Amino acid sequence: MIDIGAEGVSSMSLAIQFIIDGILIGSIYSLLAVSIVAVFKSTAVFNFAVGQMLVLGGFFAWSFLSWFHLNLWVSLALSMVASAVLGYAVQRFIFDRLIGQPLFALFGTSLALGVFLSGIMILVWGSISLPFPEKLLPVGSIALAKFGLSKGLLAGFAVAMVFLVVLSFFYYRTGYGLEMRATAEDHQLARATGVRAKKIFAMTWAVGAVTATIAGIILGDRLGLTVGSLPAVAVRAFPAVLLGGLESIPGAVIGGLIVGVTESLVGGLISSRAADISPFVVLLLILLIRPTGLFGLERIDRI
Amino acid sequence: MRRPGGVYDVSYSQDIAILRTPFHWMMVAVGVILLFSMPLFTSPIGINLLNVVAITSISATGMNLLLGYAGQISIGHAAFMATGAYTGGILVTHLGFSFWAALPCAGIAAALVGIITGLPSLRVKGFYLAMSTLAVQYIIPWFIINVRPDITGGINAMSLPPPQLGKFILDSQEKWFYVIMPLTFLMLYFAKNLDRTRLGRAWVAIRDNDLAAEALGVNLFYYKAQAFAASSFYAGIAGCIWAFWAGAASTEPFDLNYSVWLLGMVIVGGLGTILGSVLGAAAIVSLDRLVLIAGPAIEPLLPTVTKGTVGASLAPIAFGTVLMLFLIFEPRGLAHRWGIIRSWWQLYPFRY
Repeated sequence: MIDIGAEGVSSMSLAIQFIIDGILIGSIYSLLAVSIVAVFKSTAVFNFAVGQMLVLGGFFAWSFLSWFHLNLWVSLALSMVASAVLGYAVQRFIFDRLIGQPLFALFGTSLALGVFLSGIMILVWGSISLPFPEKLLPVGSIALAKFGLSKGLLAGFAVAMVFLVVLSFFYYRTGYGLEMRATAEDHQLARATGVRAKKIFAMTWAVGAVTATIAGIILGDRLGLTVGSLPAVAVRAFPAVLLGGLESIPGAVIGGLIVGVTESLVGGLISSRAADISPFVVLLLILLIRPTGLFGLERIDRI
Repeated sequence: MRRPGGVYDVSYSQDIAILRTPFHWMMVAVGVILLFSMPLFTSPIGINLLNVVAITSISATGMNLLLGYAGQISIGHAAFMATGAYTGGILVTHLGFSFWAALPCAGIAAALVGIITGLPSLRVKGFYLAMSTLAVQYIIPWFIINVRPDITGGINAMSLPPPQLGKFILDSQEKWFYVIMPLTFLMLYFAKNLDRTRLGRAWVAIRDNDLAAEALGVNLFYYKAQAFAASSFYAGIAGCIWAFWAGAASTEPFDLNYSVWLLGMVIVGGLGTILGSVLGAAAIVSLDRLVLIAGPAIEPLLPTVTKGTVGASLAPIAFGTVLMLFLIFEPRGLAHRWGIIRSWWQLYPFRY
């Protein structure tokens, strides 16, 4: 009897351990989901290239560190500037020309952009995995009660959360943030009040690219930067976006955490191979059961 | 449809004919004779290219039925091809079917998977539906690799015997050419006909305005499921042919990237036209080949960090650029351009 009880407790604490890991890993998905949702809300473009943007942002940081031997903080700041410029250019040169086009055109363009960026990255940085010259996030783990917390994951989580707080400050306390929210709400009304919608679209893309870059640096530090496999991590943020309801930024954060926890629990309790597709099973279930997600709005179509 | 002056329909059979004028018939006859005599004066590489274009056309036609006619976006088309490839492979190697019996079964199996994928279309549409195809794109290869690796070979490719046609064993590109081309023609003809039936018209109605279509009595769910079934049937057939033609079934070529390429082919070729699927497949496959040749040639001109990456990088760069340019400047695709050339030719020397 006592043995069975002890067994139950240990598997319980194991599950809690997996949940903690899942939340920490899920913060990356949250970042990516926020990047996608921010862009989608304003411009109605679902950014399929977020995975490639993430790796490209990581490569920017890697290049400033390894090629130009700049200081760590300078490199990180410059990589964010570079990816913001990239995001701005994407809207200016590509999506500005597609305003008012049907869904498949926006969809196809963002897919094409992803393919194009991955080609550019193979050309410049090659297709092998590049680790950062030095570890950016701490290694090892700390013990908290009975649970072990990986310092790297914890630091990544902290960075992600700090960035999300900064982002929400930007959205809710600055003039540009207000204009972005207004544009996301209604293009025409925003334009009527003097907001330059195209400029705001481009800024939103820049914000999305910077958000992806943060995720890219955290992921690249843990897994190494590759064009081949890292974008596939970003694809797991898509279920998170839908779970959150596609138009809600808090929803995207929570969706990312839920996907992380699901993946970690399935990986720990069932099998690591099943974890690979668990986000997509979640995705199918959301679509079948509650397509509007947790925080989404029910859209009513008019002819 | 634009016709030369003086050509009128006087009977119903003329009205529904695909080939309307004697000139059409003549051009098609010349084209077919030229095509089938290709192996006489083309190198094996050329025949290989034609085979790839033909198989890809079947698959792209399936994509076009779904995206171009029914207006449903799919980025899981390659997974349906994988379903067809493995269904065919399992039926032939484990159950002793002949290739010819396994081929339609592969299409039907893929169609069933396609219907399941389309189930969310009961509740969601557009972009959300595309997400369900994305999920399927990941789930199907996972099932193939992990569920019964003893049957499918798991992560390893499943090697397949070359099929027989009477006494002929299909073991060379030329022999395959004479099998693939008639099959492709058959599939394209069938698709062209679908386009003009109640089914095809219902799809177009759904694409143009689903609410209006529903108000007119088009059962949205039924026709969307049909679109998914037809589309994945084509993908399954193409996948099965591909696997036997390549001699092995593997999940590796049928990844998300390939689905994106198929989507790109249909957009470049022209949505909502059968001709567009063929033109798109030919254009993109040729572009891919061209870039493979050009890669080593321009490699010395570029300073790169790691050598030998130029070849691998040019294909995605070229494809991405071409697809974006088409979406921005010619979203109606090559088929529309072809239509412009044709009408210019017919009306010359007048502008219109």
